[in-house]
Amino acid sequence: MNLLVFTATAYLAYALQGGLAPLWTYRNTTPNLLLILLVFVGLNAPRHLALVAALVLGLLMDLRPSPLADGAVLLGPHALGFLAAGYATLQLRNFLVRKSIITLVIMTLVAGAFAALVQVLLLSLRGLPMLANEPMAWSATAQLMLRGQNLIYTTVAAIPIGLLLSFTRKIWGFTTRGRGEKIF
Amino acid sequence: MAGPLISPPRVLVAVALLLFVNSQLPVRYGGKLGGMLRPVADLVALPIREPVFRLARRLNRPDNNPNSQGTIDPASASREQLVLAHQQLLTQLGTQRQRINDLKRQLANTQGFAVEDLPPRNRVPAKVSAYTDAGTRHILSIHGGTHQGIAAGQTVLYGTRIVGRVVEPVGPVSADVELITSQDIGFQIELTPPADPNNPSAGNTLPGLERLRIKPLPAERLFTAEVSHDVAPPIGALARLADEIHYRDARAHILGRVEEVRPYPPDPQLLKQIVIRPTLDLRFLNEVVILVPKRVPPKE
Repeated sequence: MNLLVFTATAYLAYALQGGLAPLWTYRNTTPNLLLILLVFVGLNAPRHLALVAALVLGLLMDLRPSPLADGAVLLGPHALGFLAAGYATLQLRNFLVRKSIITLVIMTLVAGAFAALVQVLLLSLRGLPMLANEPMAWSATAQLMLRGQNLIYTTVAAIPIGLLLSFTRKIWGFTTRGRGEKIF
Repeated sequence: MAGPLISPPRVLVAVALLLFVNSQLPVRYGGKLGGMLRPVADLVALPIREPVFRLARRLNRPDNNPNSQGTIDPASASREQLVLAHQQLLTQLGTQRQRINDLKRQLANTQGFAVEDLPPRNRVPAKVSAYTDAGTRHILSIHGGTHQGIAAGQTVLYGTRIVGRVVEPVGPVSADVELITSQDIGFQIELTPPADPNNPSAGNTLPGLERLRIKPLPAERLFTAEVSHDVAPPIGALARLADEIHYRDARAHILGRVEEVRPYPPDPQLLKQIVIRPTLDLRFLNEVVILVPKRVPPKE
């Protein structure tokens, strides 16, 4: 995978995520560009690079405004959520047609669900007295519902964005399969 | 044979473990690294994010700035159009002067919250570069930071309306503003008769509706309050801040308008619930003003 292309695309996705809000926010939901990029890279890049990319994209998500009180920026919940999403994508990708847009769309839904579960779990764990003892001011169920709405919107947005990414596949320099990578 | 001690998978696992530990630390420890990196990320993203936000806003959201409506392009306008526009501007100027005089008089009379007990403030404008809905918190990212004297806790306005307050982290050229609709604190308001929200001198407080405590509903971006039957306000009444603690420097600024007056579900016989909606969609403003305390020169 061409790291320069990944860096430039991640930067663009991070900048556009907040910048495009007036155009695509519907009620309280917005699509997640970084998640779509994660799934695209996860489906096509070598294993170790895909996991590193997932971690980097998750860290970028962590650097966006968080639900924590007083605007605290906590590195971890999104990064680990994206890592779990990247791992799930890697586990499933050998059973899928990697270059298909339908695969990208379905995997966005699946990987996004993993990411949302891990994020909400990690943020909810902070409320335990033996850990941070800083409970969130929300209900985990309501947050999962909200993230589910966002995920459905992201899945829809994955169709045009996936097509756009597919057109650029050549410059990403994806190899078909890493050396020693198992098929099953 | 065992693999090397430091290999990519092991490094990845170690980083993941560190992140897990960091995510479970109290914010005052766990938020340090993020607090340092966030302004850097904002600084790097700003050159793309800000123009994109402005373009996206222009494409999809009506301009909230009342002064920009009804303008004409001087290059293509006829003489008659220009004369008419000039006359309209003169009329507006007269109206604004009248409003300033009214406001001065109202301040002089005081509404119970004169500003003499507060240090003077500078009004620092800042462009909005992004909006984020972070679950229960609604955040505007602005292009302005410590270089402009902006710090956490400062009040943010848009004209005569209250927008929210600056929250951490504040970078050199970027900062976050938490919208007033997303905060889980209740504060006091007063209600004045329906009027143009651009007019700051719009009447006296409705009787029985001074110091009314309201609660935000972040999911709906609304506020609610309970009042007794006999003092229910009219639809369209303006809600102005009147809290002694929160947003003290923004007292008398407009929070929103009464949208609905309905029976209060737990006690419909005695109380009514009023629903207040901000007069603007605060999420998609193009520019805001931050009230920055004036620097006092050190005594010699």
